[in-house]
Amino acid sequence: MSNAERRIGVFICHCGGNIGNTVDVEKVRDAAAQFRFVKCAETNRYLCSSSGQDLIRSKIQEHGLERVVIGSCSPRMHLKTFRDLCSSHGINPYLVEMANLREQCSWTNLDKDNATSKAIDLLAGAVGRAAYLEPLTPTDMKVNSNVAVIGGGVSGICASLELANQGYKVFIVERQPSIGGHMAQLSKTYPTLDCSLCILSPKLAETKGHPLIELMTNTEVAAIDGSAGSYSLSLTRRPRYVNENKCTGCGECAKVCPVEVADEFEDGTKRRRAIYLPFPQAVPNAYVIDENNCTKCWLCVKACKHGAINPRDQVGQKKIEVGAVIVATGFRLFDPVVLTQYSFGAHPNVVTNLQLERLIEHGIYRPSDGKTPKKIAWVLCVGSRDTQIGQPYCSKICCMAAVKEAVLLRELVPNLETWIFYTDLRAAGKGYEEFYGRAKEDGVKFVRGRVAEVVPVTGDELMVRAEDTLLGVQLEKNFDLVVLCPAILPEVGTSELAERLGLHIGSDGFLLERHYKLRPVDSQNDGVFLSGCCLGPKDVRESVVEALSTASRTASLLGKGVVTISPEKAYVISDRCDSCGECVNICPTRAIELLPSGATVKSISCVGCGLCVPVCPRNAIDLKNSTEPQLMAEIEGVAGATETRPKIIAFTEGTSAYTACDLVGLARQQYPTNVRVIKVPSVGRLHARHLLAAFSEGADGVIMIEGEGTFLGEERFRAHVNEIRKVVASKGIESLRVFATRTTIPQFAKLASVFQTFTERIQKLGPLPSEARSKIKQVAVAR
Amino acid sequence: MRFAYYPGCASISIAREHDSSSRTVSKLLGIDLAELENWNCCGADSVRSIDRFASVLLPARNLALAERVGLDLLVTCPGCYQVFSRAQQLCQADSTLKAKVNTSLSSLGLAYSGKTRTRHLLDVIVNDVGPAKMSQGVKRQLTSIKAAPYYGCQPAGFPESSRFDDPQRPQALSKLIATVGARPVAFPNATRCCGGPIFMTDPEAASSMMRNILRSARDAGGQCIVTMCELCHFNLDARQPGIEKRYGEKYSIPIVHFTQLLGLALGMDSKTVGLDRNIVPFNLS
Amino acid sequence: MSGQKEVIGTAMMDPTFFDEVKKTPGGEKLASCIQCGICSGSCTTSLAAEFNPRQVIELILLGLGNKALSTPSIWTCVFCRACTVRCPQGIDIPELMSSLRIMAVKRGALPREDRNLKFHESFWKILRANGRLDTFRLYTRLAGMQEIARSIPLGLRLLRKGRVAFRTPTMVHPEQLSSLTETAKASEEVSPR
Repeated sequence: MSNAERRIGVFICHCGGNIGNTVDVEKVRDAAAQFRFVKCAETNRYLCSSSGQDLIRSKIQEHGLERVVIGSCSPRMHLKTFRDLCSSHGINPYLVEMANLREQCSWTNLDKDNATSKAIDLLAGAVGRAAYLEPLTPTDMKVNSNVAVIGGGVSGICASLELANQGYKVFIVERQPSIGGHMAQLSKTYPTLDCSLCILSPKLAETKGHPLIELMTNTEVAAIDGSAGSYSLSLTRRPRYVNENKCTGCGECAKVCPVEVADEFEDGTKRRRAIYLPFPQAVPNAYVIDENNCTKCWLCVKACKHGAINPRDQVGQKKIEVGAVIVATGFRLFDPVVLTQYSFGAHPNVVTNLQLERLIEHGIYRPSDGKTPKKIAWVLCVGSRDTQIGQPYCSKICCMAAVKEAVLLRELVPNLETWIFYTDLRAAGKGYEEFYGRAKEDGVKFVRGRVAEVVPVTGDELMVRAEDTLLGVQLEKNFDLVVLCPAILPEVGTSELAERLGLHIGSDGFLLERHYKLRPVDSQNDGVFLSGCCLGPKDVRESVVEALSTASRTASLLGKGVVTISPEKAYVISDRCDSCGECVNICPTRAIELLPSGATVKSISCVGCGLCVPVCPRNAIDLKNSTEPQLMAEIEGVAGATETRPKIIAFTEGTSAYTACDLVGLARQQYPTNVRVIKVPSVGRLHARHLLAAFSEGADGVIMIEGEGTFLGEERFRAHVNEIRKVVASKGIESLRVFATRTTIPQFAKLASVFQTFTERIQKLGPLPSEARSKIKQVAVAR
Repeated sequence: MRFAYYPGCASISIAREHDSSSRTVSKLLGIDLAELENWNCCGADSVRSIDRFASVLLPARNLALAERVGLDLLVTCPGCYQVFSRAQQLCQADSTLKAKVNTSLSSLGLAYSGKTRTRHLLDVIVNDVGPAKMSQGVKRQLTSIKAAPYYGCQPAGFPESSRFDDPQRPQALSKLIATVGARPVAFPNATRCCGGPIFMTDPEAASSMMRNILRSARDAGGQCIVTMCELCHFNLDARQPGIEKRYGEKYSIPIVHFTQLLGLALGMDSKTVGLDRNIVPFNLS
Repeated sequence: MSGQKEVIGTAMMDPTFFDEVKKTPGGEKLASCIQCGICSGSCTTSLAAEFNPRQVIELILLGLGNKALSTPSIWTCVFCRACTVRCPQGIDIPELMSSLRIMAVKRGALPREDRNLKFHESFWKILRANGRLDTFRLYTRLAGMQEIARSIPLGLRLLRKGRVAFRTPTMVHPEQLSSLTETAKASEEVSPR
């Protein structure tokens, strides 16, 4: 298609005032109408609404538009909406371009004049780029329909059963020797007081017996390779030393074992042997040897009448191929020993609520002397809602867990005194407030005041000191059992697993979902879904809800048998390639190979980062949908459309960093309008020529922002930025005019201050002198 | 072990006997105390209630004096310790404040850089000298004494950078008591305020607070209370008969300052450690 | 607030008071107070006060400036810092108390004869004169004749044991101290009377 046939339609949205109240949308439209190839320019109150879409539709027909530019909210919101719309009217979805006039413009600065100029620049960039867009078609790739579920707690189990019952083969990878997780440790669940193991056991049995579920306990994920629809997981199995099929669970081995250590299932309230059954209802129901504490005396081998013990068991490696992964790794409890004012670890009668659940299961006794307690206190918010420790969040379940335990214990022990010391009593779920009401009727006492200290007094007793904030007095009361309710933290190893799977971690340490409201169980990796407490504190019911959600999401991904691959991949311009191999070396996913015909890109493995493009000395490799002409045109448009001074261009990596920029606007944090964002697949996609083009066309300062955890590693990022800086400096541009940084999504607030500080710096330096600009232009033309 | 000794205002008025027992005990344990020349009052609670800048400047002058002689500062009063810690933290966090402090100090030819450490005598004895060396010097085991360690309110809040004991479950006095052969008797109010700092402004409240300490220690089985703060000692000792009269209760618990206890164990007699000057007599072995 | 009989109305609430306190040392994180009560639970002198630390903060959050600055509660703090060590939001309560005291003095929220005011101002005055505290002089300045009379039993006990110091050694050149603090033009607080 020749240039003359470009027919661009520009549509600018008021967004109900979100844009229109700050940006003079009509003025922007009028400016856009003058841009090259623009055949029509319209405004609308809500382009995403059906009337807005109708407008676009009618203009496409009226003007024979063959590509569309939308100035509205972030493409992260509605790019798909507009692509679908245009696609249904004969316009290839990749011929749709969006300018971010809301999250990155109107929401970040209320200065109308400057916001309008900025919007014009952004639109100019979008229209410029649009002229070079090419129609692209995604390809379908067959998927592997197996699923791996990491974590065999209630969440992982429910997700597995749901998928297996739909016909998917599921691998459950569980680190412990038995599935069941923390739910197996609970005595009863709230608010119905169902026996926890009674409702869990049938699920455990079903999991074991299901023909489509392969259970791998004592196993962890060592490495993962591949992308959505096609993953390869390398698993490491720790030796059990016991043959699961031969073991009858008779227990003769444990009787002769000389070693005794703290029992993890009983959370330290009891001891077990080095050869042990995790718990009576364990699945698989077989003994296991704790190799860290086993003395290798092998007395157990002789004692076993079924020959089930194998001292020569070794670490095993296994590889599985799956199409999707569900992460359901659960939680651990904060160790309150560091809060010495609560005397945990210093007095036997101070326990955690998890330990209490075990004590209840064994008939409720106080650890100091085994007698039945008479007065029990619960201390809530131990390590939660505490910015000093670094856990500012609420752990959600402890209030209800304490109320449940108190109600339960009152049934078990006559005349028991039960006191719950709380900060705010949170009973938000279905039936929870009613249960709290029942607790009060039953005689559970509540004191509103965060406990200041738990101090041992004479004998077995401890004094709890707190302010009763409702009365405004200091209260001191003695108890013979004090239950601390510690904060919920992500399970050990979560951050390492996240790194392996390319998942993001939020500022609270838990795994981060793709979108908090609308994609609550999706991760940043298209084929990996998240469920349960690995995402944040929650109770059994919510963990099951998320389990079922992830099963559904997994089925959506794998159900059609194919997965659609984006066409935004690198490609080689073969007549320019001289097989130097630079691109092969730089590719982070080893997606380029050197064949006799030259370099070739394997589309499936290509992640579209663009690191290969600037390193090619012959400009023989480019990236679809982020081609050289497209990028240059966008730079020229954004840098050159208006005469705003100083003008700062921020090349922003398109996934995490761009999202962080959007979050700044979403949070309505303000920064100077001088900053204009240009999305790039990665800072690694940039060459010094792009910065020089920006400066020559009108920029006075350039920022490069890369997200954390992208395919551009730290070392390469630094080297790359330094190379660019050197070239830019050699053209006579002060090095202070170039800035590079990395950001994470949760740290978005830092970006606003980066923009502010950099703008101030450039204002102090003043605009780039016009001689410097024209000098670069001469050089740039020569390229 | 040499320190610039900062006696503090209590040591020259209501706690002179503790000043002397501190000096003697230190000498016996090999701690060399060189009194800080021309020291000024740290400002206590009062200066910070009226003039914030002065409340940093006053302790800074002493720290600058110590810096000039190249020694760390040794104090015996936890209140002073808290004041010095605060001044150092504030100057470290705010370079503008530190600069202002130095501008003022320069008129006296002094400079504050922040590198002088402040130490408490109890910390130096229990942690630097240590129980082993202390035991070597012990001539008299105080075995039949059940002593209740009383820390006063200040140590619970020492900032992390200057903490020398667990703020919630302090052990320093218990260790010292055990080293001299006596039995430490823990009681739940060991870190509550005795009322000393507010006795002059709110005697009724302070009396009630004092009473709680005395009762609590007595109920736990303490035969005497060991203090680490001179003001606490004065309060619990000198005002004890007044409290007994006010509430109609009898305690008769002698209050022994930690240097007095240690001094006895190291072979000094009652008179030398100033126990004969206690209002509530110390009649134990 | 024991014995509190009045209704707190809009007229008593001054939102600018909160903003002002927020800018003073100790006031930075006031807005994040969740009123959990761990400060008052830990306070070693709370028994004495009309308002415990949590309640003082509540007064500020509500903008009840008059109450906050005129209550003797802000003078009860002994700066032990037990509260701030445990505060989940890291609010520096003792620093806040000092700031409130200084504010109260600046605004004249206390009557001249207020005991707390007299105590601290006398302390400061003696310091500026001697360089060190003279407890005896402080007491005699503070206490009226009746009170001194009531203290005679204590005084006698102390005399008998040789523990009364009528004259305590002062600093050499104590005027250094006052010149030091007066030339400190950087100080923003008003000099005491």
